[in-house]
Amino acid sequence: MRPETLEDWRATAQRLLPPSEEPLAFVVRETPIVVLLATARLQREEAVSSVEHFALRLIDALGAAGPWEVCRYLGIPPRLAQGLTQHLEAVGLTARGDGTEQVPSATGPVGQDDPELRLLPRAAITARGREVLAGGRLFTTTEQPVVLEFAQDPPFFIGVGPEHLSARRGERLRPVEIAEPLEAVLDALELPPAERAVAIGIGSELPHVDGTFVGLAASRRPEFRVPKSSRGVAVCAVLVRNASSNALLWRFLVAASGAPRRHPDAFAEAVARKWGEAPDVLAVLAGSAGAHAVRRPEDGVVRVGVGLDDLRQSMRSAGKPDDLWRAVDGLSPGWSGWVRLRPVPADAGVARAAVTLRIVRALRAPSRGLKALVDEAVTELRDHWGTELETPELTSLHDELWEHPDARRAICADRYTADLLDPYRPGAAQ
Amino acid sequence: MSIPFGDQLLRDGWLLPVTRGTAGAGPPIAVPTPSAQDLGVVTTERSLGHSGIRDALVSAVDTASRRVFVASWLLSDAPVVDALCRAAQRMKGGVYVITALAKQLHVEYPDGLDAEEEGDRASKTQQHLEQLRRLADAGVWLRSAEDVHLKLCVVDDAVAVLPSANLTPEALDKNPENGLVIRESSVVREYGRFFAHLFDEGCTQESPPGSQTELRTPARVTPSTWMPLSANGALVPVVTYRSHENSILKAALEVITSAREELVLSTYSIDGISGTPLGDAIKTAIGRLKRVTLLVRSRNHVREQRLALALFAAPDRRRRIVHVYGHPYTHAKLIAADGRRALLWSGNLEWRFGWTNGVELGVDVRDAAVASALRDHVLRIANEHPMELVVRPSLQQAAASGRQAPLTGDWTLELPAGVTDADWNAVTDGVRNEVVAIGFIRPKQILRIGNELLLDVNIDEDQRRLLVARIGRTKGTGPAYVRFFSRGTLSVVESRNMNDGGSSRGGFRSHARVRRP
Repeated sequence: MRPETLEDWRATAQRLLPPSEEPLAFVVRETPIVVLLATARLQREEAVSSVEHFALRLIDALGAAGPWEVCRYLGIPPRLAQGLTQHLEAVGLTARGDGTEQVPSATGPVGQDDPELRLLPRAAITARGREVLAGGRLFTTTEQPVVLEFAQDPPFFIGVGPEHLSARRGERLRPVEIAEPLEAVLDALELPPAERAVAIGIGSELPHVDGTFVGLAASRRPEFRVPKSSRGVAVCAVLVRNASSNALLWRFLVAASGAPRRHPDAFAEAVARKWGEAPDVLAVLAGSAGAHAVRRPEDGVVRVGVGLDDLRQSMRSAGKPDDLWRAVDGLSPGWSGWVRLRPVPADAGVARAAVTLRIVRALRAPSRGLKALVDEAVTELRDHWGTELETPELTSLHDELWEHPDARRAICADRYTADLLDPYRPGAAQ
Repeated sequence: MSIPFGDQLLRDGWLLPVTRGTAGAGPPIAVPTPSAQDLGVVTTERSLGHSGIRDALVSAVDTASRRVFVASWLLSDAPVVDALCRAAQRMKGGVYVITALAKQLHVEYPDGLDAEEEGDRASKTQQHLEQLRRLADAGVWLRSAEDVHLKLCVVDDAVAVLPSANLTPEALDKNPENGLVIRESSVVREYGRFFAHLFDEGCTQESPPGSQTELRTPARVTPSTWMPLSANGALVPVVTYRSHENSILKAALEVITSAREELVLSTYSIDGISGTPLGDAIKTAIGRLKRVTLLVRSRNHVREQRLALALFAAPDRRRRIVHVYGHPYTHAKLIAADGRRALLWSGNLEWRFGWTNGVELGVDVRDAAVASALRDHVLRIANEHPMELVVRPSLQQAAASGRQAPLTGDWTLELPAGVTDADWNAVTDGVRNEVVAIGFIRPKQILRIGNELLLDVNIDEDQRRLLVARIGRTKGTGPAYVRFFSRGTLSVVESRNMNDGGSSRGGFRSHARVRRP
């Protein structure tokens, strides 16, 4: 199911991102899909066959050779020898040139002597031929019609569409209707693979297409079309804190026709840079969310000082307080965003009241004495809020906590020994 | 020849209201009115219009500043519970209560609730549990053990209240009860020490403070050695603490033995005392003293008590120094010797519990003023509802004594068709036996024959037939007689089986109606 709400995207992020990456902000939008009908130039790598290998070896040994030598020395039929030498020359592994007419002196040939073959030209091995001879592999460049799917804004590569799209009657876009982002796509396709990946999300490979994507062939003019039945694509840039590197990183999630998937991170960062135009995107987002925030470099979470009522909302359970997600205003049209904020006490009084509240919540299922619970609560909240926090006196806590029925058990347990055991120990003061 | 109901003799000793002209009626006892010398003695007497025990408890608890210990098998008196809740709120805890928690309530009430009140049992249990919930919510720590029967309140180790009463509205408003308020610090501290030991080590269930009662097993503790209670002075604390200490029995025997002229005994129950060290001591005392007075709850439905009362009075058939007084509600507990020394404790003369087992608490009073005040209070109770002990009264006599109105005339008892031989024999033997009482518990339409048989009957007033629906057996206890058959006859028949046209039994019941010759 395509994510639509913040909760959907949070669940998607939890599924697609490693547990060590905690989301801090989401920026999402829906954008139409356009398809680019073009011819791709692809470089393919092939293994050299044994007969090709021996033919190259022979040519290299003789300095130059033609079909006659290949036929006689390798013992293969004349027509095969002729085809083989033509192929080697065609793929640039051999070439005619100076000295190739010289008749080699070699040990006695073993194959068939076809006088007509003697008339055919000889060729010498090229530098590329020597590389292939050393590596045993052959690279070739071919052209292939492709249907490339792109998100329209921001423009980035989604995937290779089904071939039938090219045959379907799409709506041809007039040149004037090609928006600026799509022109950027065409420009970016000319970039080297690494830069191209950052710019529009296409690196060296196209999904489901054999070969290395080199670029578009000049033989056909690329054209954009809009698929009539497309729902568009939902995109989501997620700012995460990577726990192991302690770095803030952008991740990019895309939901088109299938299940949401993660896109290359480099493109996500590029997108984020475009949005931010600022050294601290998170701070900008937080500011847009109305938070006068302080971001702690240790965890990247934006703190926002609040009163007890707001703090209570984040402390609904006995566990760690919840962070809040607040919508970001002022993004570009079509974009929505949420930033994670951590409510922290606005002042010492609020902090003290919140500590009491936290202890009350923990006391609903006490497993230890009150002092241990207080120490645990203070430590946890201190780490969570990132603020200094004093451990309250137990005596004064008794007064505050007594009003909470759940707290009374722990308070009574705290005084059990003093009430029932200490006064009656031998030698105890009467 | 008919069964002469009215002439049947009831077994054992019965406590019957004193009627004019009844031989051997207990004489009114001259008792001084309460005075300032009764300081420390607290009582509940309906004639006073208020409960001194409740007042003392609430007053003490309201002054608590450190801790409060309370023990009472039942705890449902709202004013007392209110005071405990206030104390817990004021001190932020520190209130510890030993009482019957839900699990213990399933067993028989040890005392305080008579069989006549059985119908109220569910509502009383409900009241008790409701107050427990209030206490738990207020921050009071509740614990219980099945054999804990003591009644105690200790406040700050400064004041102790030892009532005979369970802390229920019935006990504090209706039952004659007695008790002591003790402020002697060395004595009070011993009671505190005992309670703390019992609470910490001797309880089997608990409901810690919380928003609701929650039954669980207390955390295990390493048992400590129990050091017996000790105090030197006019008030000596005594206890029955399972196998740890039995100083109540020792004190009771000493008090009985110390009597020179008079012994006053007050108890809820006296079952099974004969042949025990306590019974033997009392028997000896009867032989040498001028007057022995026993005040006891009139529980005529309990055969063990009737038997015990008959034996209690047996040594005194000629000298007439034993005076037994019954009271329908008394719950006061006392053994007083000559108004000089007294044992006030939470248990009863009943031997089964509280002397060498269970947990009870008391005080051996060696202050003559206090002992005398306790004695006088018991004697005032005896005057309140004068009942006398009658050994082997006739049904006629019992019926004429007032409470039980007689059912007269001839009745036919029809047993269900196909009754088993065992049931047939049990019923007919019961009717034949001239010393087995036949009672009729009208509201419940139950016919009781002797101590064992209970018959559910439907009453046909016009035909004067009692149609038996079910035959059951008791173990000697159960609901009290409400009405006796005092004159007339009772015939036993088996219902005609409509399918085969008649009974298949032998000649004894070959006719529809069989009268005992």
